[in-house]
Amino acid sequence: MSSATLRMGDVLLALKEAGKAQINPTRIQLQKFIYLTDVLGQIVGRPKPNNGHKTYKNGPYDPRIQNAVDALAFRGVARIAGVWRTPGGHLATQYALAKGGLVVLEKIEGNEDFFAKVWLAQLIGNELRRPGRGWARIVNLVYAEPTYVSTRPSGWGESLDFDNGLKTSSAFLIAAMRRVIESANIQSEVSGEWIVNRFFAYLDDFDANYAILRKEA
Amino acid sequence: MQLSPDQFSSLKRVITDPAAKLAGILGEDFTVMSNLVAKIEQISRASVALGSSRILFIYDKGAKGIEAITPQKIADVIRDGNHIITVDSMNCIVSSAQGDPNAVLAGDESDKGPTATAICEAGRLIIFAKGRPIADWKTIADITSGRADWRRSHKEIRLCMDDHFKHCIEDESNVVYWHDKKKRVLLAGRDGTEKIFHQSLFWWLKKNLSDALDVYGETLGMGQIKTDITIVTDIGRLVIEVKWLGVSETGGRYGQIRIREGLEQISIYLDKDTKMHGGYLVLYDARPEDKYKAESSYPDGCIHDRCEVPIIYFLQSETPSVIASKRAKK
Repeated sequence: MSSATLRMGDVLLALKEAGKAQINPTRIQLQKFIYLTDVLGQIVGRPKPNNGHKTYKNGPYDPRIQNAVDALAFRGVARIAGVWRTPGGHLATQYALAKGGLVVLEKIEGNEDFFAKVWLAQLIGNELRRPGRGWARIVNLVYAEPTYVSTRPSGWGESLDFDNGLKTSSAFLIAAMRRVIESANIQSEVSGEWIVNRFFAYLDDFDANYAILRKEA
Repeated sequence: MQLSPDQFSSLKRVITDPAAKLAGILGEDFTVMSNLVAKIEQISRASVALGSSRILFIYDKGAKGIEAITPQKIADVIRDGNHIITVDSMNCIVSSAQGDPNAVLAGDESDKGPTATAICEAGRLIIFAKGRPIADWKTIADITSGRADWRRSHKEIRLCMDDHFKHCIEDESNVVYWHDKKKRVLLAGRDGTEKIFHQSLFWWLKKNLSDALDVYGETLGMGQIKTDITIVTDIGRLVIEVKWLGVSETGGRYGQIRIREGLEQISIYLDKDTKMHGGYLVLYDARPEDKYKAESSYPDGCIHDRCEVPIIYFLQSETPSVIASKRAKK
């Protein structure tokens, strides 16, 4: 399956989860949701997409996601749910699943290549729907992701190596999480649900305790 | 360390939370575990309800109770002579029974199911899952949750243990361990002499190792393959074996050979677990001073590559003026 098709599937899964939260996400929110899906993909052994997310002005950005959104909207699989001009003069767009999208989504969910992603997208969607979170905070949560925190100061266009455990990254964070549970009970296999839950708890905690301090500084 | 101090603090908060560990080990919902731990912690803080009693809570996911856990209800249960309480996922009491709520029982019960159990006493809580203690904390602050200058990196663990000896052990400043100070006989305590030193060191390290992700302290009587203290760091694990030398009130007697036994034990741990990057043997020596000086050696080859030289703390039983006059006579 080509990377363009995979990205289209990612967008549809993100739109579905947004729909469950009764949200029509913006492009930036879609980028962030898919970023989190890719970051957590390592817990189900999914490799990082080649030349994927890079640092950009609104956080991690993968141009293929935007291409996929445009292609889906053009083909009537996704629909544009709102357009407005931001105070900065840019066009902002909200998206939702179109009727045709539901049919495509059904096929994607039945595709073996997407099983792990469907499951992860659901877990991430569930975490976002927890009280105190919500899609409105997704940008802040991604800004607390360790790989982005450590790569952001290097400027725009830097590749985000979130699966490189030798750097400050989510891979390193997840390995440390596993180690704590292993030390408590060697026989325990840490579930994906637990890692996603604690990963979001980490993003929440970091955002609540340190992001504000940095902004003030 | 690869994580910044801010990142490290966030990570530590979210994964050392006992409810998070329970959820991770048992595959239970975090919110359910969080509510359960909060409720039992409340009982531990309400020392009026517990008095000097210990309660063993057993979590039974499938059961359905009626009465909610409250300090008053727990006091009633204790008054009836029951110390083992089964609770459900809604924090209601399912049943209560008589029995000795000790760590071995707590471990065994948590292995059935498997499920979670908790030993709750005034000011302290130990949570077990799948047969092992996974969290042990004081619900009321004490001296060890102390000063900024006591906080150290795990790379300075030797200094951290020296601090502990100076502020907690020396002159029985925070831990009472002499049964007969004059004859240099150690107390046996509720759970054995080793536990007196082990517990105190465990608390100290837990509170004062600033860059440890977690510190686990095993409970006596739960099997020989379990380490005394395990410190989880960002790069692996450290193990500490705690021993004592001398005589205890129950007649237990340990001499020089104990040092070698401890070193062998650490070698076994280090060989078994490649993620353990360091081992320490700490001994609290209650033997007479001449024995401490003359009989504290061990064969050269018995120290594992990743194990440090044994640390032997001599337990002083005489006042400085007596020591001074003895030295002057010599």
